[in-house]
Amino acid sequence: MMTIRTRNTLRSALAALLLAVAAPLLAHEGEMGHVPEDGSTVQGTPEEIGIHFDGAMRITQFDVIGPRGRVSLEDQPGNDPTEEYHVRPAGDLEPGRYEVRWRGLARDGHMMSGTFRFTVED
Amino acid sequence: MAWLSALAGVDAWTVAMILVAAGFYAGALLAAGAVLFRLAFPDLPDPERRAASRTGAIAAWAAIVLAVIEWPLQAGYLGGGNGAAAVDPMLLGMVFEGAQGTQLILAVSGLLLVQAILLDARRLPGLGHGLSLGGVLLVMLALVQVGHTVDEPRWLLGGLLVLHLLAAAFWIGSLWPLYRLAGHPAGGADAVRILDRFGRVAVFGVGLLVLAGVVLAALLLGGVTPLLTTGYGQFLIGKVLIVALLLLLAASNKWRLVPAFERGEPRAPQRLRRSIAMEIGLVGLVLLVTAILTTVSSPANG
Ligand SMILES: [Cu+2]
Repeated sequence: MMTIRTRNTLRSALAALLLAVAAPLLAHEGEMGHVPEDGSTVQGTPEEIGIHFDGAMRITQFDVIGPRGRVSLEDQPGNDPTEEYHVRPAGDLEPGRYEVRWRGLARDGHMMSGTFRFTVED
Repeated sequence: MAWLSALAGVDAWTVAMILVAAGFYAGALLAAGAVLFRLAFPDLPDPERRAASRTGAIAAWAAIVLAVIEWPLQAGYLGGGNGAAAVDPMLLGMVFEGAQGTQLILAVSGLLLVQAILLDARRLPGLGHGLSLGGVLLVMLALVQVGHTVDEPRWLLGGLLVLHLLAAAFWIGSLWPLYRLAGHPAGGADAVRILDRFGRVAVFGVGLLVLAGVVLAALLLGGVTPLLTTGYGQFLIGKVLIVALLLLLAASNKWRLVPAFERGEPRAPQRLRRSIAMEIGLVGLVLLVTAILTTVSSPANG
């Protein structure tokens, strides 16, 4: 039989443990920001399109899809772990709505994916 | 609802990943559980002991196959969810070098060692147990390689997850042998002895399972709010509800159906079997939700 005293001790030990680490633990890397900003409108072709993370991530897919389908890109970095991933459109982007779809592998083995959108105006 | 929007973005490729992951969890835990169950009940009647070993060995092979299938599925997902990416050597290499590759190697070697459960217990006592227990240890190590338990404090998080998994494996591994035992005529001495002892061991095991799970969830989520607002939290609530249902069934077995079985009531075996079969179905559901939790959502991105 567990005495009331041991049970209380256990309970306060557990509470202390929970309090000690009450802040959410840092899980895998997360998105910190996008270029152009998600939902923003830019004048003319953006100089670069990219994303940055709060830790190193291996980007394995980075597609920019516009009114005419997939946009061809320059300077596509490799798959090495990086905090900053930036590409340049190979030509001018015509006005319209664009969506970026990316996937990547986080350090903890989790597979990540995300999208962000921007609009190009004349 | 965050959990609905988490599922809305799921494509066929991701569904395949979730199903394969759930199958892998089921196979690996069933294999580990068979080893633990045999260890906890050395006095199983011969046919039951052989059946438990056979189930464990088959489950281990199924888990090996599924673990290997996960590899190209993950590579394919990284490349945008298509067949060409699934056989891309660069992507396959990247997955293998990472945490998933470590998990694959540990899981396959552990599950191969679990096959030692088939060694004749009478002629080679100890050896079969030792090797298969080593296999269980490797499988547990494999399961803590991927995900947020790799973060600091790694020993605490990984240790809690291993305790949670060991208790879950024992429970899952016991369902099929108990289902078979419940098919014995009501009041049969072997069945009564084992069902009775299982009831006592299970109280401890279930307590460990729930306690480790709750502490782990609290540490990973870091509060009550994410439980309600994020997709991860909402799936977790779903998992807890199904587990609560499982606990109700288990409690009714322990305090109602098993005593009726012991008294030799003629309808008791059938009712006990039906209840255990429902437990098996619910365990499948829990593993499916767990695979969704670990595949499409995580405590970090909701
Ligand atoms: Cu993660």
